[in-house]
Amino acid sequence: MDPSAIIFQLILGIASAMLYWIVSSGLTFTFGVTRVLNFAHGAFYMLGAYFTLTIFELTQNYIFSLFFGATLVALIGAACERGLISRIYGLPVPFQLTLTFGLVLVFDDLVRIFWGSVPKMMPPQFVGSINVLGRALPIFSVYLIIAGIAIALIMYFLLSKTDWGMEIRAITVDPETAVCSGLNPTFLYATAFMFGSFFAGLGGGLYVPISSAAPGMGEHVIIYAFIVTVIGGLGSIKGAFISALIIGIIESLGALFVPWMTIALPYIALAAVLILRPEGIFGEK
Amino acid sequence: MRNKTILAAVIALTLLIPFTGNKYLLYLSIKIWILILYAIAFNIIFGYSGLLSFGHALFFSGSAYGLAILVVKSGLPLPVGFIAGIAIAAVFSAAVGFLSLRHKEIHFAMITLAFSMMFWGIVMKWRDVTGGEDGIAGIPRGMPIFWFYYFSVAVVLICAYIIYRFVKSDFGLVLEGIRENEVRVRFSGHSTLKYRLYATIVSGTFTGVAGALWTMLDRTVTPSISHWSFSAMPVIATLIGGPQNFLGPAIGTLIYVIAQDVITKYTLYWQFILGMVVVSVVLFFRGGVMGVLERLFERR
Repeated sequence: MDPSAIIFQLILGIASAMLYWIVSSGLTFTFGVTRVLNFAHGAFYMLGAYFTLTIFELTQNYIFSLFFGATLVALIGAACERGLISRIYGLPVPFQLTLTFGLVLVFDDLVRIFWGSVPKMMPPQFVGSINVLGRALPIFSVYLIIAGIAIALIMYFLLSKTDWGMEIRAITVDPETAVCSGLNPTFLYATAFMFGSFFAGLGGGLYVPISSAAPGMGEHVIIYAFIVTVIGGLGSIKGAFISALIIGIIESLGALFVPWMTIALPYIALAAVLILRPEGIFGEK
Repeated sequence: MRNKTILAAVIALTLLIPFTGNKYLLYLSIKIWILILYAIAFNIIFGYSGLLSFGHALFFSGSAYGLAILVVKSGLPLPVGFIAGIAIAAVFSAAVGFLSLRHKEIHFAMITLAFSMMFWGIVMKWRDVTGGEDGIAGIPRGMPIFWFYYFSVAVVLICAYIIYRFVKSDFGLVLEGIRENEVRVRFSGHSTLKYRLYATIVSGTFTGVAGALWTMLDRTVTPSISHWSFSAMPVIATLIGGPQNFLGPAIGTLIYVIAQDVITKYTLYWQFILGMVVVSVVLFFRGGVMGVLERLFERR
Protein backbone atom coordinates (compact mmCIF):
# COMPACT_ATOMS: atom_id res chain seq x y z
CA MET A 1 0.00 0.00 0.00
CA ASP A 2 1.03 3.56 -0.69
CA PRO A 3 3.05 4.76 2.36
CA SER A 4 1.72 8.31 2.03
CA ALA A 5 -1.79 6.92 2.50
CA ILE A 6 -0.69 5.26 5.74
CA ILE A 7 0.92 8.44 7.08
CA PHE A 8 -2.12 10.47 6.12
CA GLN A 9 -4.44 8.01 7.84
CA LEU A 10 -2.13 8.10 10.87
CA ILE A 11 -2.50 11.88 11.17
CA LEU A 12 -6.29 11.59 10.96
CA GLY A 13 -6.09 8.89 13.63
CA ILE A 14 -4.09 11.16 15.90
CA ALA A 15 -6.65 13.93 15.39
CA SER A 16 -9.52 11.71 16.49
CA ALA A 17 -7.30 10.37 19.29
CA MET A 18 -7.05 13.96 20.58
CA LEU A 19 -10.83 14.15 20.82
CA TYR A 20 -10.88 10.88 22.79
CA TRP A 21 -8.07 12.22 24.95
CA ILE A 22 -9.83 15.49 25.77
CA VAL A 23 -12.99 13.68 26.88
CA SER A 24 -11.15 10.88 28.70
CA SER A 25 -8.79 13.26 30.49
CA GLY A 26 -11.75 14.69 32.40
CA LEU A 27 -13.17 11.25 33.13
CA THR A 28 -9.95 9.73 34.40
CA PHE A 29 -9.15 12.86 36.38
CA THR A 30 -12.46 12.90 38.25
CA PHE A 31 -12.14 9.17 38.84
CA GLY A 32 -8.64 9.58 40.23
CA VAL A 33 -9.77 12.20 42.72
CA THR A 34 -13.28 11.11 43.70
CA ARG A 35 -13.12 7.34 42.91
CA VAL A 36 -16.43 7.60 41.10
CA LEU A 37 -16.63 6.37 37.51
CA ASN A 38 -18.96 8.95 36.07
CA PHE A 39 -21.32 7.66 33.37
CA ALA A 40 -22.80 11.16 33.12
CA HIS A 41 -19.49 12.40 31.71
CA GLY A 42 -20.92 11.48 28.30
CA ALA A 43 -24.02 13.54 29.04
CA PHE A 44 -21.78 16.52 29.87
CA TYR A 45 -20.08 16.00 26.52
CA MET A 46 -23.48 16.15 24.83
CA LEU A 47 -24.40 19.29 26.77
CA GLY A 48 -21.11 20.87 25.69
CA ALA A 49 -22.02 20.20 22.07
CA TYR A 50 -25.49 21.75 22.42
CA PHE A 51 -24.31 24.76 24.42
CA THR A 52 -21.56 25.52 21.92
CA LEU A 53 -24.03 25.23 19.07
CA THR A 54 -26.62 27.51 20.62
CA ILE A 55 -24.16 30.13 21.82
CA PHE A 56 -22.60 30.09 18.37
CA GLU A 57 -26.00 30.81 16.81
CA LEU A 58 -26.26 33.86 19.08
CA THR A 59 -22.71 35.21 18.88
CA GLN A 60 -21.24 33.75 15.67
CA ASN A 61 -17.96 33.37 17.53
CA TYR A 62 -16.86 29.73 17.71
CA ILE A 63 -13.93 30.02 20.12
CA PHE A 64 -16.01 32.07 22.55
CA SER A 65 -18.94 29.62 22.31
CA LEU A 66 -16.62 26.70 22.86
CA PHE A 67 -15.18 28.05 26.10
CA PHE A 68 -18.39 29.60 27.38
CA GLY A 69 -20.26 26.36 26.66
CA ALA A 70 -17.63 24.26 28.42
CA THR A 71 -17.75 26.62 31.41
CA LEU A 72 -21.52 26.20 31.67
CA VAL A 73 -21.03 22.44 31.54
CA ALA A 74 -18.43 22.73 34.31
CA LEU A 75 -20.96 24.57 36.48
CA ILE A 76 -23.61 21.90 35.82
CA GLY A 77 -21.01 19.27 36.68
CA ALA A 78 -20.26 20.99 39.97
CA ALA A 79 -23.97 21.22 40.75
CA CYS A 80 -24.39 17.48 40.08
CA GLU A 81 -21.42 16.72 42.29
CA ARG A 82 -22.72 18.82 45.17
CA GLY A 83 -26.32 17.69 44.90
CA LEU A 84 -26.05 14.03 43.96
CA ILE A 85 -22.67 12.47 43.36
CA SER A 86 -21.14 13.64 46.65
CA ARG A 87 -23.73 11.44 48.38
CA ILE A 88 -22.49 8.24 46.78
CA TYR A 89 -18.75 8.49 47.51
CA GLY A 90 -17.60 5.19 48.94
CA LEU A 91 -20.65 3.20 47.83
CA PRO A 92 -20.10 0.02 45.78
CA VAL A 93 -19.39 0.58 42.09
CA PRO A 94 -22.78 -0.67 40.80
CA PHE A 95 -24.56 2.09 42.70
CA GLN A 96 -22.21 4.76 41.38
CA LEU A 97 -22.57 3.54 37.82
CA THR A 98 -26.35 3.35 38.01
CA LEU A 99 -26.85 6.74 39.64
CA THR A 100 -24.74 8.44 37.01
CA PHE A 101 -26.46 6.34 34.31
CA GLY A 102 -29.77 7.69 35.64
CA LEU A 103 -28.38 11.19 35.10
CA VAL A 104 -27.59 10.25 31.49
CA LEU A 105 -31.24 9.30 30.92
CA VAL A 106 -32.43 12.55 32.49
CA PHE A 107 -30.05 14.77 30.51
CA ASP A 108 -30.86 12.94 27.25
CA ASP A 109 -34.53 13.76 27.64
CA LEU A 110 -33.87 17.32 28.81
CA VAL A 111 -31.92 17.86 25.60
CA ARG A 112 -34.85 16.41 23.63
CA ILE A 113 -37.21 18.81 25.38
CA PHE A 114 -35.09 21.92 24.77
CA TRP A 115 -33.53 21.17 21.39
CA GLY A 116 -35.78 18.49 19.89
CA SER A 117 -34.95 14.91 18.86
CA VAL A 118 -33.59 15.79 15.43
CA PRO A 119 -29.79 16.10 15.26
CA LYS A 120 -28.66 19.72 15.01
CA MET A 121 -25.82 20.92 12.82
CA MET A 122 -23.69 23.99 12.93
CA PRO A 123 -21.63 25.50 10.10
CA PRO A 124 -18.20 23.89 9.79
CA GLN A 125 -15.39 25.85 11.39
CA PHE A 126 -11.85 26.46 10.17
CA VAL A 127 -12.71 25.27 6.70
CA GLY A 128 -9.82 24.62 4.39
CA SER A 129 -7.01 22.16 4.21
CA ILE A 130 -3.29 21.93 4.05
CA ASN A 131 -1.33 19.79 1.66
CA VAL A 132 0.26 16.74 3.29
CA LEU A 133 2.09 14.39 0.94
CA GLY A 134 -0.18 15.42 -1.88
CA ARG A 135 -3.39 14.87 0.09
CA ALA A 136 -5.71 17.49 1.54
CA LEU A 137 -5.63 17.34 5.34
CA PRO A 138 -8.52 19.30 6.90
CA ILE A 139 -7.17 22.23 8.86
CA PHE A 140 -9.61 21.37 11.64
CA SER A 141 -7.72 18.13 12.31
CA VAL A 142 -4.50 20.11 12.66
CA TYR A 143 -6.15 22.44 15.19
CA LEU A 144 -7.57 19.43 17.03
CA ILE A 145 -4.08 17.98 17.43
CA ILE A 146 -2.75 21.33 18.64
CA ALA A 147 -5.65 21.67 21.09
CA GLY A 148 -5.09 18.17 22.44
CA ILE A 149 -1.40 18.77 23.09
CA ALA A 150 -2.14 22.21 24.59
CA ILE A 151 -4.65 20.65 26.99
CA ALA A 152 -2.13 18.02 28.00
CA LEU A 153 0.40 20.75 28.79
CA ILE A 154 -2.15 22.88 30.66
CA MET A 155 -3.20 19.88 32.74
CA TYR A 156 0.39 19.05 33.52
CA PHE A 157 1.07 22.63 34.56
CA LEU A 158 -2.07 22.97 36.70
CA LEU A 159 -1.52 19.69 38.51
CA SER A 160 2.19 19.93 39.12
CA LYS A 161 2.87 23.66 39.49
CA THR A 162 -0.14 25.20 41.24
CA ASP A 163 -1.25 24.97 44.88
CA TRP A 164 -4.62 23.64 43.80
CA GLY A 165 -2.97 20.91 41.76
CA MET A 166 -0.79 19.94 44.70
CA GLU A 167 -3.80 19.74 47.00
CA ILE A 168 -5.67 17.65 44.44
CA ARG A 169 -2.76 15.26 44.18
CA ALA A 170 -2.54 15.07 47.95
CA ILE A 171 -6.20 14.18 48.38
CA THR A 172 -5.94 11.63 45.58
CA VAL A 173 -3.02 9.80 47.12
CA ASP A 174 -4.13 9.87 50.75
CA PRO A 175 -7.48 11.51 51.50
CA GLU A 176 -7.27 11.03 55.27
CA THR A 177 -3.87 12.63 55.78
CA ALA A 178 -4.77 15.40 53.35
CA VAL A 179 -7.91 16.26 55.28
CA CYS A 180 -6.02 16.08 58.59
CA SER A 181 -3.48 18.57 57.26
CA GLY A 182 -6.25 21.08 56.76
CA LEU A 183 -7.33 20.59 53.14
CA ASN A 184 -10.99 21.14 52.39
CA PRO A 185 -12.32 17.97 50.72
CA THR A 186 -15.68 19.50 49.80
CA PHE A 187 -13.99 22.28 47.87
CA LEU A 188 -11.44 19.99 46.25
CA TYR A 189 -13.93 17.34 45.15
CA ALA A 190 -16.31 19.95 43.75
CA THR A 191 -13.58 21.79 41.85
CA ALA A 192 -12.10 18.51 40.60
CA PHE A 193 -15.49 17.55 39.26
CA MET A 194 -15.91 20.98 37.70
CA PHE A 195 -12.51 20.68 36.09
CA GLY A 196 -13.29 17.22 34.70
CA SER A 197 -16.71 18.25 33.39
CA PHE A 198 -15.14 21.25 31.67
CA PHE A 199 -13.15 18.89 29.44
CA ALA A 200 -16.23 16.83 28.68
CA GLY A 201 -17.95 20.02 27.53
CA LEU A 202 -14.90 21.09 25.57
CA GLY A 203 -14.80 17.74 23.78
CA GLY A 204 -18.45 18.06 22.83
CA GLY A 205 -17.93 21.60 21.59
CA LEU A 206 -14.97 20.52 19.46
CA TYR A 207 -16.94 17.64 17.97
CA VAL A 208 -20.04 19.60 16.83
CA PRO A 209 -18.57 21.42 13.83
CA ILE A 210 -17.27 18.16 12.30
CA SER A 211 -20.50 16.28 12.89
CA SER A 212 -23.73 17.20 14.67
CA ALA A 213 -25.32 17.30 18.10
CA ALA A 214 -27.93 14.66 18.88
CA PRO A 215 -29.55 13.29 22.03
CA GLY A 216 -27.77 10.13 23.08
CA MET A 217 -24.49 11.16 21.43
CA GLY A 218 -22.84 10.96 24.84
CA GLU A 219 -23.53 7.26 25.25
CA HIS A 220 -21.28 6.30 22.38
CA VAL A 221 -18.54 8.61 23.59
CA ILE A 222 -18.65 7.53 27.21
CA ILE A 223 -18.04 3.92 26.24
CA TYR A 224 -14.98 5.03 24.26
CA ALA A 225 -13.86 7.14 27.19
CA PHE A 226 -14.27 4.10 29.47
CA ILE A 227 -12.14 2.04 27.10
CA VAL A 228 -9.45 4.72 26.97
CA THR A 229 -9.38 5.20 30.74
CA VAL A 230 -9.32 1.50 31.54
CA ILE A 231 -6.59 0.77 28.98
CA GLY A 232 -4.53 3.69 30.25
CA GLY A 233 -5.10 2.72 33.87
CA LEU A 234 -8.00 4.16 35.85
CA GLY A 235 -7.09 7.56 37.25
CA SER A 236 -3.90 7.94 35.23
CA ILE A 237 -3.88 11.07 33.09
CA LYS A 238 -0.68 10.12 31.32
CA GLY A 239 -2.22 6.72 30.64
CA ALA A 240 -5.32 8.31 29.14
CA PHE A 241 -3.17 10.33 26.72
CA ILE A 242 -1.21 7.30 25.57
CA SER A 243 -4.19 4.98 25.29
CA ALA A 244 -6.26 7.60 23.45
CA LEU A 245 -3.43 7.69 20.90
CA ILE A 246 -3.41 3.88 20.74
CA ILE A 247 -7.17 3.69 20.18
CA GLY A 248 -7.21 6.52 17.65
CA ILE A 249 -4.35 5.02 15.68
CA ILE A 250 -5.53 1.40 15.64
CA GLU A 251 -8.95 2.63 14.59
CA SER A 252 -7.67 4.73 11.71
CA LEU A 253 -5.18 2.11 10.52
CA GLY A 254 -7.83 -0.57 11.04
CA ALA A 255 -10.13 1.34 8.70
CA LEU A 256 -7.37 1.09 6.10
CA PHE A 257 -6.34 -2.55 6.50
CA VAL A 258 -9.26 -4.41 8.14
CA PRO A 259 -12.31 -2.24 7.47
CA TRP A 260 -14.72 -5.09 8.31
CA MET A 261 -13.58 -5.26 11.90
CA THR A 262 -12.92 -1.58 12.73
CA ILE A 263 -16.10 -1.48 14.78
CA ALA A 264 -14.77 -4.17 17.16
CA LEU A 265 -11.12 -3.07 17.33
CA PRO A 266 -11.36 -0.82 20.44
CA TYR A 267 -13.15 -3.61 22.31
CA ILE A 268 -10.55 -6.15 21.25
CA ALA A 269 -7.86 -3.79 22.51
CA LEU A 270 -9.72 -3.38 25.81
CA ALA A 271 -10.14 -7.11 26.32
CA ALA A 272 -6.50 -7.77 25.40
CA VAL A 273 -5.22 -5.18 27.87
CA LEU A 274 -7.52 -6.39 30.64
CA ILE A 275 -6.42 -10.00 30.17
CA LEU A 276 -2.69 -9.25 29.90
CA ARG A 277 -2.42 -6.30 32.28
CA PRO A 278 -5.63 -5.84 34.28
CA GLU A 279 -4.54 -2.60 35.95
CA GLY A 280 -4.00 -0.88 32.60
CA ILE A 281 -0.82 0.47 31.05
CA PHE A 282 -0.10 3.10 33.71
CA GLY A 283 -2.39 1.87 36.47
CA GLU A 284 -1.32 0.92 39.98
CA LYS A 285 -1.91 -2.62 41.14
CA MET B 1 -45.77 -19.20 54.11
CA ARG B 2 -48.20 -16.36 53.47
CA ASN B 3 -45.79 -14.90 50.93
CA LYS B 4 -45.77 -18.14 48.99
CA THR B 5 -49.56 -18.22 48.91
CA ILE B 6 -49.67 -14.67 47.54
CA LEU B 7 -47.05 -15.52 44.93
CA ALA B 8 -48.92 -18.65 43.84
CA ALA B 9 -52.17 -16.69 43.60
CA VAL B 10 -50.55 -13.97 41.47
CA ILE B 11 -49.02 -16.55 39.12
CA ALA B 12 -52.36 -18.38 38.87
CA LEU B 13 -54.09 -15.10 37.97
CA THR B 14 -51.58 -14.37 35.19
CA LEU B 15 -52.45 -17.74 33.66
CA LEU B 16 -55.82 -16.23 32.72
CA ILE B 17 -54.23 -13.52 30.54
CA PRO B 18 -54.51 -15.46 27.23
CA PHE B 19 -58.29 -15.74 27.74
CA THR B 20 -58.73 -11.96 27.61
CA GLY B 21 -58.13 -12.22 23.86
CA ASN B 22 -56.10 -9.02 23.95
CA LYS B 23 -53.16 -9.71 21.62
CA TYR B 24 -51.09 -6.76 22.81
CA LEU B 25 -51.53 -7.61 26.47
CA LEU B 26 -50.55 -11.18 25.70
CA TYR B 27 -47.41 -10.09 23.85
CA LEU B 28 -46.45 -7.70 26.63
CA SER B 29 -46.99 -10.35 29.30
CA ILE B 30 -44.76 -12.87 27.54
CA LYS B 31 -42.14 -10.17 27.16
CA ILE B 32 -42.31 -9.46 30.89
CA TRP B 33 -41.95 -13.17 31.76
CA ILE B 34 -38.90 -13.47 29.53
CA LEU B 35 -37.28 -10.32 30.89
CA ILE B 36 -37.98 -11.54 34.43
CA LEU B 37 -35.94 -14.66 33.68
CA TYR B 38 -33.22 -12.44 32.17
CA ALA B 39 -33.07 -10.29 35.32
CA ILE B 40 -33.17 -13.23 37.76
CA ALA B 41 -30.39 -15.00 35.85
CA PHE B 42 -28.35 -11.79 35.77
CA ASN B 43 -28.80 -11.33 39.50
CA ILE B 44 -27.06 -14.65 40.27
CA ILE B 45 -23.72 -12.97 39.76
CA PHE B 46 -24.82 -9.43 40.63
CA GLY B 47 -26.87 -9.78 43.78
CA TYR B 48 -25.40 -13.03 45.06
CA SER B 49 -21.73 -12.79 44.18
CA GLY B 50 -21.44 -9.01 43.95
CA LEU B 51 -20.07 -8.80 40.41
CA LEU B 52 -21.56 -6.23 38.07
CA SER B 53 -21.73 -7.66 34.57
CA PHE B 54 -22.20 -5.04 31.92
CA GLY B 55 -22.32 -7.56 29.12
CA HIS B 56 -25.18 -9.95 29.71
CA ALA B 57 -26.54 -8.97 26.31
CA LEU B 58 -23.79 -11.23 24.95
CA PHE B 59 -25.39 -14.36 26.41
CA PHE B 60 -28.90 -13.19 25.60
CA SER B 61 -28.17 -12.35 21.98
CA GLY B 62 -25.67 -15.19 21.56
CA SER B 63 -28.48 -17.63 22.19
CA ALA B 64 -30.99 -15.59 20.17
CA TYR B 65 -28.69 -15.39 17.14
CA GLY B 66 -27.65 -19.02 17.53
CA LEU B 67 -31.26 -20.13 17.35
CA ALA B 68 -32.08 -17.79 14.48
CA ILE B 69 -29.08 -18.78 12.37
CA LEU B 70 -29.48 -22.52 12.92
CA VAL B 71 -33.22 -22.54 12.29
CA VAL B 72 -33.55 -19.98 9.49
CA LYS B 73 -30.22 -20.31 7.68
CA SER B 74 -29.37 -23.96 8.31
CA GLY B 75 -32.93 -25.21 8.35
CA LEU B 76 -32.64 -27.20 11.58
CA PRO B 77 -35.81 -27.99 13.54
CA LEU B 78 -36.86 -25.44 16.15
CA PRO B 79 -36.26 -27.58 19.28
CA VAL B 80 -32.70 -28.29 18.11
CA GLY B 81 -32.14 -24.56 17.58
CA PHE B 82 -33.60 -23.83 21.01
CA ILE B 83 -31.22 -26.23 22.77
CA ALA B 84 -28.27 -25.19 20.60
CA GLY B 85 -28.91 -21.50 21.34
CA ILE B 86 -28.80 -22.17 25.06
CA ALA B 87 -25.65 -24.25 24.62
CA ILE B 88 -24.02 -21.34 22.79
CA ALA B 89 -24.87 -19.03 25.69
CA ALA B 90 -23.33 -21.57 28.07
CA VAL B 91 -20.13 -21.75 26.02
CA PHE B 92 -19.93 -17.95 25.78
CA SER B 93 -20.40 -17.55 29.52
CA ALA B 94 -17.76 -20.19 30.25
CA ALA B 95 -15.30 -18.37 27.98
CA VAL B 96 -16.09 -14.91 29.39
CA GLY B 97 -16.08 -16.25 32.93
CA PHE B 98 -12.71 -17.90 32.41
CA LEU B 99 -11.13 -14.78 30.92
CA SER B 100 -12.56 -12.30 33.42
CA LEU B 101 -12.20 -14.29 36.64
CA ARG B 102 -9.37 -12.21 37.99
CA HIS B 103 -11.33 -9.00 37.69
CA LYS B 104 -13.56 -7.29 40.17
CA GLU B 105 -15.80 -4.25 40.31
CA ILE B 106 -15.15 -1.77 37.50
CA HIS B 107 -12.74 -4.02 35.67
CA PHE B 108 -15.22 -6.90 35.64
CA ALA B 109 -17.91 -4.55 34.31
CA MET B 110 -15.52 -3.31 31.63
CA ILE B 111 -14.29 -6.69 30.43
CA THR B 112 -17.82 -8.06 30.15
CA LEU B 113 -18.75 -4.89 28.27
CA ALA B 114 -15.78 -5.40 25.94
CA PHE B 115 -16.74 -8.98 25.07
CA SER B 116 -20.39 -8.18 24.51
CA MET B 117 -19.58 -5.22 22.29
CA MET B 118 -17.14 -7.35 20.28
CA PHE B 119 -20.03 -9.69 19.58
CA TRP B 120 -22.16 -6.66 18.66
CA GLY B 121 -19.44 -5.62 16.21
CA ILE B 122 -19.44 -9.09 14.65
CA VAL B 123 -23.24 -9.11 14.40
CA MET B 124 -23.24 -5.70 12.73
CA LYS B 125 -20.53 -6.55 10.21
CA TRP B 126 -20.93 -10.24 9.35
CA ARG B 127 -23.87 -9.57 7.08
CA ASP B 128 -23.89 -12.96 5.31
CA VAL B 129 -24.58 -14.82 8.52
CA THR B 130 -26.23 -12.36 10.90
CA GLY B 131 -27.99 -10.05 8.45
CA GLY B 132 -26.12 -7.00 9.79
CA GLU B 133 -28.29 -4.16 10.96
CA ASP B 134 -31.43 -5.74 9.50
CA GLY B 135 -31.05 -8.88 11.57
CA ILE B 136 -32.77 -12.15 10.76
CA ALA B 137 -36.50 -12.46 10.21
CA GLY B 138 -38.85 -15.38 9.77
CA ILE B 139 -38.04 -17.40 12.87
CA PRO B 140 -40.85 -19.89 13.54
CA ARG B 141 -42.61 -19.83 16.87
CA GLY B 142 -43.70 -23.46 16.56
CA MET B 143 -47.10 -22.83 18.13
CA PRO B 144 -49.84 -20.20 18.27
CA ILE B 145 -49.14 -17.30 20.62
CA PHE B 146 -51.91 -18.55 22.96
CA TRP B 147 -49.93 -21.72 23.69
CA PHE B 148 -46.60 -19.94 23.48
CA TYR B 149 -47.68 -17.96 26.52
CA TYR B 150 -48.04 -21.13 28.59
CA PHE B 151 -44.84 -22.56 27.15
CA SER B 152 -42.93 -19.41 28.16
CA VAL B 153 -44.47 -19.28 31.62
CA ALA B 154 -43.61 -22.94 32.19
CA VAL B 155 -40.03 -22.52 31.01
CA VAL B 156 -39.52 -19.33 33.03
CA LEU B 157 -40.99 -20.82 36.20
CA ILE B 158 -38.96 -24.02 35.94
CA CYS B 159 -35.76 -22.03 35.32
CA ALA B 160 -36.57 -19.62 38.16
CA TYR B 161 -37.13 -22.57 40.51
CA ILE B 162 -33.78 -24.13 39.52
CA ILE B 163 -32.06 -20.76 40.05
CA TYR B 164 -33.81 -20.43 43.40
CA ARG B 165 -32.55 -23.82 44.55
CA PHE B 166 -29.12 -22.94 43.22
CA VAL B 167 -28.72 -19.65 45.10
CA LYS B 168 -30.25 -21.06 48.28
CA SER B 169 -27.91 -24.06 48.25
CA ASP B 170 -24.54 -24.29 50.00
CA PHE B 171 -23.06 -23.14 46.73
CA GLY B 172 -25.13 -19.95 46.83
CA LEU B 173 -24.08 -19.37 50.41
CA VAL B 174 -20.42 -19.48 49.43
CA LEU B 175 -21.20 -17.00 46.64
CA GLU B 176 -22.71 -14.62 49.17
CA GLY B 177 -19.67 -15.15 51.32
CA ILE B 178 -17.45 -14.11 48.41
CA ARG B 179 -19.53 -10.99 48.02
CA GLU B 180 -19.19 -10.07 51.69
CA ASN B 181 -15.58 -11.04 52.28
CA GLU B 182 -13.63 -12.80 49.59
CA VAL B 183 -10.46 -13.26 51.63
CA ARG B 184 -12.25 -15.13 54.40
CA VAL B 185 -13.91 -17.48 51.94
CA ARG B 186 -10.52 -18.23 50.44
CA PHE B 187 -9.09 -18.90 53.90
CA SER B 188 -11.86 -21.36 54.58
CA GLY B 189 -10.52 -23.45 51.73
CA HIS B 190 -12.84 -22.59 48.84
CA SER B 191 -11.51 -21.63 45.43
CA THR B 192 -13.33 -18.34 44.88
CA LEU B 193 -12.34 -18.39 41.22
CA LYS B 194 -14.06 -21.72 40.66
CA TYR B 195 -17.24 -20.56 42.38
CA ARG B 196 -17.27 -17.40 40.32
CA LEU B 197 -16.78 -19.31 37.11
CA TYR B 198 -19.65 -21.70 37.85
CA ALA B 199 -21.90 -18.83 38.88
CA THR B 200 -21.13 -17.00 35.63
CA ILE B 201 -21.90 -20.12 33.60
CA VAL B 202 -25.22 -20.74 35.37
CA SER B 203 -26.14 -17.08 35.00
CA GLY B 204 -25.17 -16.99 31.32
CA THR B 205 -26.95 -20.24 30.48
CA PHE B 206 -30.27 -19.13 31.93
CA THR B 207 -29.84 -15.76 30.23
CA GLY B 208 -29.53 -17.83 27.07
CA VAL B 209 -32.89 -19.49 27.79
CA ALA B 210 -34.44 -16.03 28.00
CA GLY B 211 -32.73 -15.05 24.73
CA ALA B 212 -34.05 -18.13 22.90
CA LEU B 213 -37.61 -17.48 24.12
CA TRP B 214 -37.31 -13.83 23.07
CA THR B 215 -36.36 -14.79 19.51
CA MET B 216 -39.34 -17.13 19.24
CA LEU B 217 -41.65 -14.42 20.57
CA ASP B 218 -40.43 -11.64 18.29
CA ARG B 219 -39.72 -13.99 15.35
CA THR B 220 -36.86 -11.65 14.40
CA VAL B 221 -33.48 -10.80 15.87
CA THR B 222 -31.76 -7.43 15.45
CA PRO B 223 -28.41 -6.18 16.77
CA SER B 224 -30.18 -4.00 19.35
CA ILE B 225 -30.28 -6.99 21.72
CA SER B 226 -26.47 -7.27 21.55
CA HIS B 227 -25.84 -3.63 22.30
CA TRP B 228 -24.61 -2.65 25.76
CA SER B 229 -27.79 -0.71 26.47
CA PHE B 230 -29.59 -4.05 26.52
CA SER B 231 -27.12 -5.17 29.20
CA ALA B 232 -28.03 -2.11 31.25
CA MET B 233 -31.69 -3.11 31.43
CA PRO B 234 -31.41 -5.96 33.96
CA VAL B 235 -29.03 -3.81 36.02
CA ILE B 236 -31.62 -1.06 36.36
CA ALA B 237 -34.54 -3.44 36.84
CA THR B 238 -32.67 -5.36 39.53
CA LEU B 239 -31.75 -2.19 41.39
CA ILE B 240 -35.33 -0.95 41.31
CA GLY B 241 -36.61 -4.28 42.62
CA GLY B 242 -33.81 -4.99 45.05
CA PRO B 243 -30.77 -7.17 44.36
CA GLN B 244 -30.65 -8.79 47.82
CA ASN B 245 -34.00 -10.51 47.41
CA PHE B 246 -34.63 -13.42 45.04
CA LEU B 247 -37.82 -11.86 43.70
CA GLY B 248 -36.34 -8.35 43.57
CA PRO B 249 -35.27 -8.55 39.91
CA ALA B 250 -38.70 -9.93 38.95
CA ILE B 251 -40.56 -7.11 40.69
CA GLY B 252 -38.13 -4.58 39.22
CA THR B 253 -38.64 -5.91 35.70
CA LEU B 254 -42.39 -5.82 36.11
CA ILE B 255 -42.24 -2.19 37.22
CA TYR B 256 -39.73 -1.29 34.52
CA VAL B 257 -41.66 -2.75 31.59
CA ILE B 258 -45.12 -1.67 32.74
CA ALA B 259 -43.91 1.83 33.59
CA GLN B 260 -42.24 2.12 30.20
CA ASP B 261 -45.39 0.95 28.48
CA VAL B 262 -47.71 3.24 30.44
CA ILE B 263 -45.51 6.33 30.50
CA THR B 264 -44.79 6.23 26.76
CA LYS B 265 -48.55 6.43 26.18
CA TYR B 266 -48.62 9.86 27.83
CA THR B 267 -45.25 11.39 27.13
CA LEU B 268 -42.31 10.90 24.81
CA TYR B 269 -39.96 11.65 27.66
CA TRP B 270 -40.17 8.41 29.59
CA GLN B 271 -36.39 8.21 29.98
CA PHE B 272 -36.53 11.36 32.07
CA ILE B 273 -38.89 9.72 34.55
CA LEU B 274 -36.92 6.46 34.53
CA GLY B 275 -33.72 8.42 35.18
CA MET B 276 -35.33 10.21 38.12
CA VAL B 277 -36.50 6.87 39.53
CA VAL B 278 -33.04 5.35 39.16
CA VAL B 279 -31.38 8.33 40.84
CA SER B 280 -33.78 8.31 43.77
CA VAL B 281 -33.52 4.52 44.18
CA VAL B 282 -29.74 4.82 44.52
CA LEU B 283 -29.96 7.82 46.85
CA PHE B 284 -32.82 6.75 49.12
CA PHE B 285 -33.87 3.11 48.62
CA ARG B 286 -30.72 1.12 48.09
CA GLY B 287 -32.56 -2.12 48.89
CA GLY B 288 -35.04 -1.45 46.09
CA VAL B 289 -38.76 -2.15 46.33
CA MET B 290 -38.21 -5.48 48.11
CA GLY B 291 -35.91 -3.80 50.60
CA VAL B 292 -38.62 -1.27 51.43
CA LEU B 293 -41.25 -4.02 51.75
CA GLU B 294 -39.00 -6.12 53.98
CA ARG B 295 -38.43 -3.17 56.28
CA LEU B 296 -42.17 -2.48 56.46
CA PHE B 297 -42.98 -6.07 57.43
CA GLU B 298 -40.18 -6.26 59.98
CA ARG B 299 -41.51 -3.26 61.82
CA ARG B 300 -44.80 -4.95 62.59
